Amino acid sequence: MTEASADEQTILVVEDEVLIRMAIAAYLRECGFKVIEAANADEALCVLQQSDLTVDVLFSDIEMPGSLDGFGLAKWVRQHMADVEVILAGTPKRSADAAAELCESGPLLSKPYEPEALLDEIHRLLAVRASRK
Amino acid sequence: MLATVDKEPLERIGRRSAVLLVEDEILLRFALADEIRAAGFVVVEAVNADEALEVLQGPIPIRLLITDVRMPGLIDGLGLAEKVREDWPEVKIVIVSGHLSGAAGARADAFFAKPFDTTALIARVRELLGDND
Repeated sequence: MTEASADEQTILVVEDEVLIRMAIAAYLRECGFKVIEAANADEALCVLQQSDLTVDVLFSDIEMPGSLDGFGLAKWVRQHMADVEVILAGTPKRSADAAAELCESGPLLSKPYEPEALLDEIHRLLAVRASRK
Repeated sequence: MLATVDKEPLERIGRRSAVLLVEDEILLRFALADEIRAAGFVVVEAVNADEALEVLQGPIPIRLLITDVRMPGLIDGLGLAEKVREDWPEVKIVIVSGHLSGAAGARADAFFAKPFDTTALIARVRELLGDND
């Protein structure tokens, strides 16, 4: 189930609907990741700007209340923390082209998404990143 | 939305004591949730009373609530504690407050004034939940 890992990878999950956030965070923890939960982009930025916290993957909803949506958050991460992998989730029709620009190597998951698909993408992105180092 | 909320991790969680932590300051919430998880508990995070109530009405059986008093939204921590007492009387309640006097009169199983000793809080949580984990 969960592999003990000295370098536990950290996923920042950004989702304003608490039951969804709770379920996906629980699932990813069960899969062995450290998960930090944020309810919106402001909380996410607070976490990302903490120097003593390392985020490996940002997984964010697109439509969120607050000053930034998922796109804005992804853009900020691309500009300031290029090492962080980005996965966005949203409604496909509206989001596809803009998302492709933002995450050339990362995917857009269309909602509703399967948790296993998310897990596969996270593993893939982390493997690609590891092979670049 | 998730296509299917993965039931397995949620069912595993359901057999263990779940603690609901309500705190609107992300870094405090994350740090405390992390420590309580390290102590062996399942922690569900909520940023305000609305989220907390959604969780309580959701699929995870919550056995203990830890709530800050000051929170954004229509109900503060004291209002939440009152509602939980009425609708979920079996849930243990721990109130955390910047000023204990602000929490005077609230019916709770424990009060901790900020800044609090996390070890002491976790010990009290353990006590309140008994040994059935």
